[in-house]
Order: sequence, then C-alpha cells, then structure tokens
Amino acid sequence: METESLSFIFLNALLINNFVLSLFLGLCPFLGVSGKLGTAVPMGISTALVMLVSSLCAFFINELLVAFQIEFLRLISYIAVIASAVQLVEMTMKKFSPGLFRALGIFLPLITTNCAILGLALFQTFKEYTLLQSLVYSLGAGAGFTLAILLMAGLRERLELANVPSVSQGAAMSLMLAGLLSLTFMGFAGIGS
Amino acid sequence: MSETMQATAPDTRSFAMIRTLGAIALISGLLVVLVFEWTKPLIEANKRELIERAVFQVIPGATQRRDFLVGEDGVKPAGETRGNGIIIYAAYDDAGALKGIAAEAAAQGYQDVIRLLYGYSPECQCITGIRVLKLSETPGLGDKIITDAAFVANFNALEARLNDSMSALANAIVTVKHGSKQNPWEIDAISGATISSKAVGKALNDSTQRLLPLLVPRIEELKKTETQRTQWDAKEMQVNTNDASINFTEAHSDVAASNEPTYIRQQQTLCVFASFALKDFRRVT
Amino acid sequence: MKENHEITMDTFLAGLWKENPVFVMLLGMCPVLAVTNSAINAIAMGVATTFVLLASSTLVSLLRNAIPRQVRIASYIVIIATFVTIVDYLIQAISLELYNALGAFIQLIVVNCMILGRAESYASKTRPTKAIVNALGMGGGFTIALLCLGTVREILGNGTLFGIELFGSQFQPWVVMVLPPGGFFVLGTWLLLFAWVRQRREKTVLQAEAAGGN
Repeated sequence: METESLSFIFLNALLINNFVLSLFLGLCPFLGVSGKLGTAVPMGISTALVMLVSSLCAFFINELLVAFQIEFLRLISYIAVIASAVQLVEMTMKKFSPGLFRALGIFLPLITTNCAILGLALFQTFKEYTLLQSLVYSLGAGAGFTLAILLMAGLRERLELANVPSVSQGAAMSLMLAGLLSLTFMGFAGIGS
Repeated sequence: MSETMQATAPDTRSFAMIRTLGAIALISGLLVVLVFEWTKPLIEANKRELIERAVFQVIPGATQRRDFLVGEDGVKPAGETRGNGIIIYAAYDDAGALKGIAAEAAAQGYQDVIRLLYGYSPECQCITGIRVLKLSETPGLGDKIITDAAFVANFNALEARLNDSMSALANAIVTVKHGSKQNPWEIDAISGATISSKAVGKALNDSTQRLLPLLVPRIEELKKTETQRTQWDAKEMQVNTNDASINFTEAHSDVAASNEPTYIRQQQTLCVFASFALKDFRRVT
Repeated sequence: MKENHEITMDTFLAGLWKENPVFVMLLGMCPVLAVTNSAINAIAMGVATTFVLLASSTLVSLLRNAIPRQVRIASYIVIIATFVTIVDYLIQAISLELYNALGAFIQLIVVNCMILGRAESYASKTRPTKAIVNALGMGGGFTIALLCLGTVREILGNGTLFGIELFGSQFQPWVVMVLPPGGFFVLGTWLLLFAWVRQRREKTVLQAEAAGGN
C-alpha cells in the first residue's frame, strides 16, 4: 500500500476519523468535563500534550518489544508508559509553567484512564506508522479531541438556558448532542481521496 | 531510639512496596507467558485457515497452498527467508499444477483503508477474483463492493497483462463510470459508491504494478520447485554413501520442517526411502 | 474498618439494576458505543469484560492485605492489564473473526473505568467470595446494557438479530443506527427511558405518601 501523506494522517485523525465522535475513544472525560468552556479547554490541551508524549514513548517501547520478540507484554508496557507520561507532563508543567498547572488542576491525573491515549498508542502500532507519522497522528488526534470537546462545551453552555424536558436533562441530552455532532462529522468522510 | 525507629520505618515501607510490585509483576508475567504459549498454536492454525479459505475462494479449483516471498532478488519460499518482500500465496490443484497466486492489496476508501486479497492466473494473465479482507465503508453503500453481483463479476477475468518489456502492466487497471466499461482491464464502478469502487481499482493497480514485473519472469520457480527439490534431495542421498544415518536425519528434518502439503511431504519421504533402498541394492549387487 | 461479611442477594443484584455500570454510573462508555453494532459483538464484549472484572476482583481481593497503600493503583492496573492480555489471546484462539470484529476494544478493556473503580472501591475492601458475587452482578449488568444497545442497533440498522433476518427483503435498514451517531442516539434514548421510569416511580411514591398523610 502506498504510504499516506502526513497531511492526510493529520486530517484523518482530526476530522474524518475523529477520535471521540467516530472512534468512540475518550468518552468519559468528553461527557464529564464538557459542561463549561472553562473546564473543556484545559482538558483538551492537557490530553493533547499527554497524547504527544505517550505516542513517542509507545513508539520506542514497541521497537524494543519487537526486537526482543516479547510482543505479548505490549499492553502492560503501554499502560505503564502512559501512567508515567501523565506523571512526567504533570511534573514538567509544575516546573515550567505553574500558572497553567494550577489552571489544569485535577484534570491531569484523570487522563490516565482516558481510552483515547491507549487507543492512540494501539492504533499507531497496528498501522505500523514511522516515528514522524506517529507524531503527526498524535497531533491530529489531540487536536481532534480538543475540537470535539470545545464544540460540545459550547453547545451545552447554550443549552443551560434552554427549556429542556426534565427527563432528558443530564446525560441523555449530552448523548443526543454528541450524536448530532457525530452526524455532522460524518460529512468529512471522503476528503483527501 | 525514636530516630532509629523512624529510620527503619520508611525503609520497610519502600521495601514492602518494591517487594509487592515485584511479586505482582512476576505473577503477571508468568500468567501471560503461560497463556501465550498455550494459545500460540491455536492462533496460528486459525490464521492459516482464514488465509486458506480466502485464497481458495479467489483462485477457483485450488486445493493446496504454499507461501512465497517475492523480492528484488527473486522468488523464495516464505519459510526459508526472513527478508523484505511481497508475500504471495501460490495455489495448486490436487495434481500439483499451479492454478494461480493470491496477493494482498490495499487502498484508502471512503472511510478507512480497504484491504483485499486477489487471485491472479498466469495462464490467462488476468485476475480471477477478489475477496475483501477489511472493510469499514458505509454499510449499505460502500459494502456493495462485496454484495453487488455485477461488481463482483468484474473480477472473473480482469486483464492484468504485462507489457513487452515486462516492466509494468500493458494497460493499467482503472475504475470507470458505471455502465461505461469497454475493455477487459477496466472495472465498472457501482453507482452511488464511486469512491469505494475506485479504491478497489486503485488497490489492484498498485499491487499488480509492483508485484507482477517481479513475479511473472520467475513464475516457473513456483511450478517446478516441488519435483525439482525432491529430485535434488534424492540425488544427495545417492551421492553420499558414507554416513547414511546423518544424511537420513538431515533429509528427514528438511522434509518435516517445510510448509509443504502433506502428500508432497509423503512423496519426498518416499523418494528418500527409495534412494536408500537403491543404495543398499547397489551395495549388494 | 469492619468488613461487612454478609453476602446478600443485594450484593449480586446491585450491579444489575440499582448500580448498573452503564445506565446509572455511566462508566465504561467507550466499548458500550463502539462494539454494539451487532448483538453478537455486544455479548462477546460483555463476556470478556465480565471475565476480566471477575478475575481481577478475585486477585485484588485475595491480595488486599498484602498490597501497600501507595502502590495500590499501580498494582491494580498491572493485574487488570494481565487479564486483559490473557482474554485477548483467548479470543484470538477461539475465533479470529470475532477478534477482528471487536478490534482494538478488547485491549481497551484495561482502561474501562468500571474495572479499576470496582477494584479500588469494593474488591480491595471485601473478602474474595463477596467480591466475586458483586463482580458477577456488575459484569452481568454491563452485559445486559450492552445487549440492550446491541439488539436495538442491529434490528433497526441491519434488519437482523444474531445474524438471522427478521424482516423481509423490502426492509430498508436505518443505516445510521450501526454508525457512530446511532450509538449515541440509542444510548441517549435508553437513558431517557430510564429517567422517565424513575420519575414516574418517584411521582407515585410521593402521591402515595401524600394520600397516606391525609
């Protein structure tokens, strides 16, 4: 198969196969944190950062595993790497930009159980991307997640003021919204052909 | 006194943590390795069966299969080399005659990559069938490339002839608009699923342009390797009369380790026995 | 902290209805929407998750007094990842087609917040038998939720159930149901239904109290 171009990989992760709205990854924080724009933006940024770091680490770990032919340890090592990446990002941020760290607060530890990060690592392994392709893929995925959560937060903030039936308040409404968003994102399929 | 107590308490705590993590890692590793080793043969058998089913579907009349690796330097059996190359599945009928080869092709479709297996027959220099391995297209539209009978019929004899210098296809495989197919190397698209149909055409074109110039000049390798290799082994046995036992084990392991279908393996073993019988006969006379 | 040693029916039933991991606690959403485009996939995913939940809860409960507090999350994660890897290989050995249908989501069971959450809040504080019963209930609730979604999506979006054609050939499937948006819509509708049932029940209870007061 001919190799995909970098811009296509980026667009693919951002729009066509958006991690949240098409691949169903990262739904727990997506539904839980998208109540306000003020919480959604830091969550998106921190997730994108962790995605970048863990994507890099996962690439090198995979090279190691393949070299020693111990692929069955892949899952355990990826999880360990992701947990450590979260710690790393937390510590670096505390040192270099304490303001941002305080703004992000509780969201950083929550990222460890975000399926999107592990999903990203696993997908880039299955697709056998090179280092550069993996980097671009994780950038696109992080941007896609941030885009989705921003849109959702904007919509939900508007809905706070609307007159919605009481049965559908809360999770049901968020899911319907997410469904509509997912429907619109389906329109991006076919770009880049 | 309290200082020493304070000094020992953190030590035991960190020791306990390390000990626990180490023990858990050990148990986990052991469990995973055990299950991995136990399921490995089952998984290999499953994968083999899946590929075989697909290969026999795209090459009509085939009953046996051997894998080869096609690279710049030639065609080699897949079990022997670990180098880079395109994997092809050579299919034979009951008599051992080459019916065709199957190879994988892939291209970006509407939603995601479409992967398929196609069969190629060197006799008619055409593609004899395709089977979709991975599809994530729009259900009801894009997946018509599997269900639409007219589309599937495109691939019963899709021409994939090489040009005179054997460097590329004489006519590139191309997908044309629904209803406008004129030539045997064109694919009639499905109306309403143009992108998926185009992806199939692109996948086949890419793969054949890369594979066939390397494979077709060396197609004889796939046909005569069977009997040639058996005769060569038998000759080896006849020439070397000194250490019969070592030769026998070498020949036996060679036969057993190969991927060959069972009846061919039996043939080879029979030839080995025959050569030994001949040796004894010669010694006696 | 005194452990509650009683195993009641409630231990098992809690996971099925009152504390249903998907419909009530909204945990483990990712696989719920991704693999429920057919009923068979839904059941397979439910069974796989139940197995991991059962195995990890048992092991965590057995080792609960031996794991120091500081490393408990790391230990739980390693244990869960081990069993997920085991399930991964088992499914490949049983049926490769099922494995390809479920895709990467088998390995994503490890980040299913439900499993880590139960290990942290329940299994590490109760004895093994009770933890096993509760895990069975939770896993059962999860599977039932998956099945609810899977059957609706498959019937509406494909016209089949477990692969068996239900309607005639004239049936035009509502294709969006087996696509991502459909997953969101169907789950939202189920939640709406349960919220409505709960509201009705609360209203009748209130009415009964008001009537009793008079």
